[in-house]
Amino acid sequence: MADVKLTKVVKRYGDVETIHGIDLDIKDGEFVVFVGPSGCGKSTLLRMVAGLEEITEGELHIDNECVTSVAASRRGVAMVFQSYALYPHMTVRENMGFGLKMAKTDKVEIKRRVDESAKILQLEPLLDRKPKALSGGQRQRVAIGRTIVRNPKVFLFDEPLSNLDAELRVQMRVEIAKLHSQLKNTMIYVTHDQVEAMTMADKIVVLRGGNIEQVGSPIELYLNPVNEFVAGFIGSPRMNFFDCDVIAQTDDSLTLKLPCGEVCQLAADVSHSPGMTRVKLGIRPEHLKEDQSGEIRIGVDVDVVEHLGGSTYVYARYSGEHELIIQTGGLSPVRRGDHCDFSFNLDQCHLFDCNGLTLRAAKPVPLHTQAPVAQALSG
Amino acid sequence: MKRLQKLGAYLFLLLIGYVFLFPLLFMIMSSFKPEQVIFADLYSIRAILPVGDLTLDNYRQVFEKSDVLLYFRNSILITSATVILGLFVNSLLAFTLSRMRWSGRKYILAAVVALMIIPIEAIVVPLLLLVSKLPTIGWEQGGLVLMGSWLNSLEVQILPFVANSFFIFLFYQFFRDIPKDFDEAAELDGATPFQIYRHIIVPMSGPVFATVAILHFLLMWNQYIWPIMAVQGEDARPVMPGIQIFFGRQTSWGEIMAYASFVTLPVLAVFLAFQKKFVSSLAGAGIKG
Ligand SMILES: Nc1ncnc2c1ncn2[C@@H]1O[C@H](COP(=O)(O)OP(=O)(O)O)[C@@H](O)[C@H]1O
Ligand SMILES: [Mg+2]
Repeated sequence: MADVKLTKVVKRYGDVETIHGIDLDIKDGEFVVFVGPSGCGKSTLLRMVAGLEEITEGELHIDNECVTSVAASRRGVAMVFQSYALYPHMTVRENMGFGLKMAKTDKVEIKRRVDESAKILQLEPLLDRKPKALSGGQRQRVAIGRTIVRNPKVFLFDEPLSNLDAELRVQMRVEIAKLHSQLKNTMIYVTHDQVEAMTMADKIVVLRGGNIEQVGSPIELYLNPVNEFVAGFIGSPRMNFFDCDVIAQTDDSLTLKLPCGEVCQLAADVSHSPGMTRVKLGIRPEHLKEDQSGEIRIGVDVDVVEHLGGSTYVYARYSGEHELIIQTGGLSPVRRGDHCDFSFNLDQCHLFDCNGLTLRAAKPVPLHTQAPVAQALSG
Repeated sequence: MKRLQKLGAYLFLLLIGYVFLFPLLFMIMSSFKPEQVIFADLYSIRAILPVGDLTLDNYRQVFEKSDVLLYFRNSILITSATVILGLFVNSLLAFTLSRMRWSGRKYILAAVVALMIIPIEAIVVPLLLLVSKLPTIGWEQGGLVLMGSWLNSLEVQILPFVANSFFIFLFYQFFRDIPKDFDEAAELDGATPFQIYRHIIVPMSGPVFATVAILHFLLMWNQYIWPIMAVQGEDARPVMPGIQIFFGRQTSWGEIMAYASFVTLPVLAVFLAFQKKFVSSLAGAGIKG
């Protein structure tokens, strides 16, 4: 069982710096997900924890022990690779026991531990097969089983589900979550898929361009994104953004002109950013209503309607060119080509300044109407 | 129509097969014929048919005139030692070149590639000067002594041919295409670089090992120029230079054919035994042309 602590961790390849001084505390037993767009440095960061990439600057502590320059195999970590990296010439049993064999563990002990892990993952019938005789999901399980056998302090996963089809992905997601609640080890999981992040994580670390944008629980990130990037990245479908002109500003309120021309006043503590001319207004698709009960009404031209059964996504344009996604109930009557009105409450708008920093987050929806949040989380 | 096409294809293949088989058949058939019959048959199909009064005389002469069994033994020793050492040395260098980071790696790789284009004929003379100065370590009167030179030995035919840039390159190409994830998984499993080589890379590289083994075997079995230069006596002579004995004042083609047939046998045997594997591994190892 182990804490993981990164202190000012920097990665440079030659002159190119790809990780710019990351500070991060991971508590014992936490399920942490690194999420971010492709190329943001998630894998690099994970591989530095694993010991597969050298840490250029900064320190890494696992279990209160400085392991910055300790060999990968001595850090007490185990990793599941995106490609699984199962040794093709070995049976499942040999694959799972390879680490123990390298550590010169007694044969009987190896067998006992492989059997034990195989049981956890229901791999017993597959132990004598070679990887190529396994399905994608089974390979995935073996890759996880191989890490369990070594009983590591920290489990590392690098996009482990991206080679599976959608259905298996959901299934394995649940299995990994179950495994975590069963083993209670610290786990670090890398993905570019925010749905995976939201559904699995105790704590999400949002990365962009080698920097941490925000760290927090899924709900925290959903409710209180610190900037436009996190707001857009977390939540599905994506948050809608509109540029608005600032007409008037006091210490605790802003008067804005919406793209449709409507003028409205929002409460926000903007005493620290005087003299703004433009701000961005963010509204999540699930907070746009089909009825006219909201304070602000907007007329849109519907381009595409996706019926998912339980809900409907409406892709529309608002006052000409602003693209907009609206999530409504499953039986929405909206059709392609319609011109119709949607509405929203100013309470549920996020506000960002011209640098993308959050001026104000949406007010959390009262408990009894929180259904849209749960829906958004399940993707 | 289909049948006709098929027939045409078979005829074509037969023709090709004939072109390739002709010298081989001619050699083997002639080895069983007396000198006059070989020449009498030369301009007819009989040249490649086992007809006329066949005899083993040529073979008897071969064994009488030359120490062919000794040459054979030498060639087997030289070839197997070189191939086994070569598989190890060449693949190990390719492993470090393709999978480990060390300074100077690029230059060594460039040197390996550059060396591929240098033919053995270009370096035999300097090599000969070099090995003639190298002492061997011997055991005499209860102590180690440095003796003579490397000439006229088996090792002079083995050691210069163990490392081979072409084979290193073949290994390198094959290894380079094996995903790095395997190494990293093994590294996390606590394997040392040599253990990664031994337990992960080698077992996954069967085809390239087979290819290199066969090519190296052929190269070594057919050594001709080097042993002629580096080996004077009979003791260390391999099979190919042995054929010289039969070119003299009265050359007997029957005996030459018998000798050639006899020393080609192992090559044929290896080829026929590994034919399937060889073809598939050539494809697998990505050799083109
Ligand atoms: N070996 C390398 N040499 C140079 N740059 C690299 C190397 N590996 C990764 N990078 C760079 O580091 C950045 C982060 O890569 P990576 O961690 O793989 O991103 P992610 O996993 O988030 O998609 C990328 O911009 C990539 O180009
Ligand atoms: Mg990655």
